[in-house]
Amino acid sequence: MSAVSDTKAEPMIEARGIHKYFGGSHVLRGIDATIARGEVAALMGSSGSGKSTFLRCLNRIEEPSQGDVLIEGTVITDLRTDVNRVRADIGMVFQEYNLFPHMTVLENVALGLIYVRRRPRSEAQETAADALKRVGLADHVTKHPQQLSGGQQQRVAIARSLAMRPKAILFDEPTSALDPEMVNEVLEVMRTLAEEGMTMVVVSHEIGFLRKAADQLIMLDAGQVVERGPTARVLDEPEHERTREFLRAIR
Amino acid sequence: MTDIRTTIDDWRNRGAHQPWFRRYEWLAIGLVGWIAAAVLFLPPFGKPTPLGAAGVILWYLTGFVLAGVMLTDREKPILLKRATSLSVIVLFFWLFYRYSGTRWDRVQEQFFNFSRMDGVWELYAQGLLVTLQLSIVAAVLSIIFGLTFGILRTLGNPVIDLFLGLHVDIFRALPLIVSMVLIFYALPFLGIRLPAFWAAVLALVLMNSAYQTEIFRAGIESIPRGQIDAARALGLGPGATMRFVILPQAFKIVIPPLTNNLVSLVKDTAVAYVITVPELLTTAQQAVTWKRTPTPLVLSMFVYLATLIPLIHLTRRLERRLDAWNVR
Amino acid sequence: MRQELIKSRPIPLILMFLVGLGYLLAAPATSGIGIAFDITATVAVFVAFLFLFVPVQIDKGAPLWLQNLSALALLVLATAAFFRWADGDWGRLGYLFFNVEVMSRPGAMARMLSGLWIAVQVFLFSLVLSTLLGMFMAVVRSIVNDALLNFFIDAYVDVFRAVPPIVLLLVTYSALPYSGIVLSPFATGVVALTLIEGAYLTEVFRSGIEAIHRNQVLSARSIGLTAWQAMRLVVLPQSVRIVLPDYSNRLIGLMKRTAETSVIAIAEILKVAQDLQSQFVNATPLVVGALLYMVVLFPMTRFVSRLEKSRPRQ
Repeated sequence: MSAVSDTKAEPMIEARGIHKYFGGSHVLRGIDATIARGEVAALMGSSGSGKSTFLRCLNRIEEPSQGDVLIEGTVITDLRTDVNRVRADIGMVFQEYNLFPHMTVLENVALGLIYVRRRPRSEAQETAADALKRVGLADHVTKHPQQLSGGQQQRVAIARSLAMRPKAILFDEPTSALDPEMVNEVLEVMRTLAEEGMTMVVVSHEIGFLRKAADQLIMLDAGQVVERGPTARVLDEPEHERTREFLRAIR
Repeated sequence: MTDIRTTIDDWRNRGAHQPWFRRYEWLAIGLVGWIAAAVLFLPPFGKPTPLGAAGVILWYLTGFVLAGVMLTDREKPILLKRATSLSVIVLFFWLFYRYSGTRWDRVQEQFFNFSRMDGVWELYAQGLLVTLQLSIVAAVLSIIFGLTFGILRTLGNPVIDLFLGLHVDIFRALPLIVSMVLIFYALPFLGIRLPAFWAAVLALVLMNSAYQTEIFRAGIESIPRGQIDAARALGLGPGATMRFVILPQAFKIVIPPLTNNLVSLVKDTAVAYVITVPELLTTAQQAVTWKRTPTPLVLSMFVYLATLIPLIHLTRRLERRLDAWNVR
Repeated sequence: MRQELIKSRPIPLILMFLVGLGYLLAAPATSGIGIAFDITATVAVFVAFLFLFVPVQIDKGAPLWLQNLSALALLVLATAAFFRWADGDWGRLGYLFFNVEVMSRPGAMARMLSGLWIAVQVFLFSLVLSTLLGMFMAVVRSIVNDALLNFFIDAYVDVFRAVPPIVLLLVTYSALPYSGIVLSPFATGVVALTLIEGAYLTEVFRSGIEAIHRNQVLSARSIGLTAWQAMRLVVLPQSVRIVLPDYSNRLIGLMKRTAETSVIAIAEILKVAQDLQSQFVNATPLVVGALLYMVVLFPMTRFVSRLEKSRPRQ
């Protein structure tokens, strides 16, 4: 459990009635969520339930069609806010790593620091190297992403977010594209982050990891929240039939 | 009724967080203004004045920008998008129809005058036959030479490599039409007279074998030495190694660029028109003088299309087959 | 092990060379029915020689002098065959094909160079226009990606990739005026080449755009880069590397194709050379024309083959 989860003076991330449409389909149907500072929230749901879309709405990589997202009390869905600053403050880790193949590992991590945070190149590279050390990849800084294993690439992606010193990090199924033996090295890094008090929103089906690290579990189905609550409670005594079905299916 | 109302509500809700230019009310205002501009300001049929032309271009650009805003928004309903793209296409043809200065009443009479095509179809058949002969002869010969030269280049003998490299460099840089003209119109000065057909074949073979030399060389060189060693280790003889290990792999690498090259060879046979080979284009031009209408030339283009589009699709399908095979 | 599989046989190789050379030099070139036998015999000489020649080249154990000598022998045979079959008036080669006096007549070289200038103009105009056209089409095809528009773009690409350039040139030049669209030959040539090249470039750019996954943009944006920065720092460096070899290949093809505009009376290199050839009754202008193309295109082809070698492999 994270150390600071009880200071709930002001929520870190708050979503109010998020709707999202794609062409003909109504993907998100009014989702509310509150994630406190230092809290780890997990999103679960079958594919097509809208969990990834919701996650992407939180840093406006996907524009919500309706509803508001607040970061530390500021409405970021307002068209006048500078999305790029918001995104710089909220890290994101993707399922397929999405590293930039034409840059070295160090350049990947330093990119945002140089062009978004406007740090001098040498300072940015130092910070990037530190971030890479934190995920245990200090030896691989000059390599290109293609030369690394999947687990290592995903850790670079985490370092890329970390280097920006974000207020929160969003994880979109970070381990589902990995070979089984590489899953743990990534989860280990994530658990350390959670223990250090990083606010995290994680889309994941790794029950064991969630039980240890997640404070709150949100279960989505067909674009709506069907159940939410403390992780252990939802996992052990699910109230909703849909949740029970889903948990049976993934075990 | 309620259905329509909920649909409209639905659409309005989706616009809630869109930037202003993507909101329905602004798109609607833009559309109305744009149609009004068409009715009020667009010049009439025929060639417009420069100012009018500028107006027309501006009007179309606005339309395309409006359409782009609509089509790149993933939230907009499919129905609306389809309507937008349909109107873009209609507008495009309308632009051409209205302002190109074409005399549409004469198009059918000039370009598709089938009443004057008596006897031309037979001419086409003869021309197509020559085109086919030219393609096949040139293709077979250039594959033979390309393969031979390709293998010779992989041997790595500096003397051979120098000469074959020169051949490749020259004929990849020399336009086909220039080498045809040189062979057919310049060589007779020296007393070397080739029939037009064989002059065309020679030019086609010289150029395409240069391209194919490189294709075959790349194919053979792409097979790692380890493959040969592995086959040897299994106890395969050189013939079996070639047949079961090297050729199947080289084949898959060579086929896509080779088919591309052969398709363009077939297209290039049309150039033989300039040295009076009686192929399809030449016969079409003869028919133009004979019938005193451009119809035969226009229709010959369709004959080319009818021959080549299926050929291109066939090669593309072959490539996809090979890709699937490669993955497996 | 190797020596057992591939054995070089120098003695038969030398014998084959002597026999072949003897045949090519001694037996008179025949015509009529004998010609079929003659062709077969010449081909047989080469096939037999190559079968003995290739093992010598592959064999690592064969001495270097033997390898080089046999290569030289092959060239001697090829030269012998060439002179045997191309039975020309070789003494007049210099006068007819490499005649400096002809080209130094007043106006000759100037006209050739103005032809080159016009060819370059046709090339540049159609290059710029077709690049714009191709980029526009590719963006609509892969980013707007609307089924109906895709259908029309695919149809355009199919048609103009299938039509031979020379046919389209003649159709636009000789048929369009009948319908009331009157363009100068130069404009006609540019339009026809642009349409064809635009179709090819649509495909080239499209593969470049589609090779870069949407996720690359998403992840760049999620760091906080602006759309323009994501384009400049992430998308462009990758797509340029993918597109450049194909693009430059098309560019070379386009330059070569400008020669075909000579059929619609554009006074480019080939047209000028042909005019001068009939005026001077001498083939030198054509040779100079060919050389001009080589001077322009040779560096380009070299550059492209270097690009292709360094192309990243997926």
